[in-house]
Amino acid sequence: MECFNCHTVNDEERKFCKECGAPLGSYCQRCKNVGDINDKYCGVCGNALAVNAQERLFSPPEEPGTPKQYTLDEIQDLLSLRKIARAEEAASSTVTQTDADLLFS
Amino acid sequence: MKPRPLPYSALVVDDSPHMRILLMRLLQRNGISSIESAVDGAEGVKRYKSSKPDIVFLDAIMPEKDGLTALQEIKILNPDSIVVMTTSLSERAKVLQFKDAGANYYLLKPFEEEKFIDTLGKVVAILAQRAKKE
Repeated sequence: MECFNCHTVNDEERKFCKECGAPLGSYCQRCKNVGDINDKYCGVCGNALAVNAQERLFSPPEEPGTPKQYTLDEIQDLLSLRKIARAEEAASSTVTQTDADLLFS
Repeated sequence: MKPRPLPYSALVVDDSPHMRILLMRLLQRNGISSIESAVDGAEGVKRYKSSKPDIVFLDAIMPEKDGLTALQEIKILNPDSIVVMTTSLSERAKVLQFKDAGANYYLLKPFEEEKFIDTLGKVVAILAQRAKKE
């Protein structure tokens, strides 16, 4: 099985990449089970799972000693996503004059 | 064209001399000539007590007594007072605090003259309606 993160070819029975530690299947944040790559829900606890590689980047395994290695492109993607999230958060916590008019109408 | 004089009085409370002058000029230009001003919340409440103006334009961030405290005290003195907040505070939580304390309108600085005139028009309509009832 090829790792979505570093593209190392791993043995089929492996749950985490031997090179970078990324989960090779669907990784459950709740119970830490690694299931089939196409699973939408965890087979152990029923938790909804991240379904694509990008979403999985946000939920790397929290095993000690297996630090996730990100490429420069991935880091840039994550930073821009964080910027967007922060901007959205700021926008929702402030009001425009139109919002104020609605609040005070 | 000279505006129709309006029989209402206003109090402008702002620690910025520039804003006080601007608001007073805008009021004068729109027919309100009986205007007082105060440089902070404490003086604002004091002047409200003594002259009971029809409209209060109140800044939020001021020394001595902030706009929220001044608003609460004015609303205790007269729950029917009309208070227009004129502030740059745009945090939703803060804006809601002013709403909960009874502010009638909220003008976000910097505002356009048109927006000011629109708000003043709404206030004048309320005052005219009240006068009819009396």
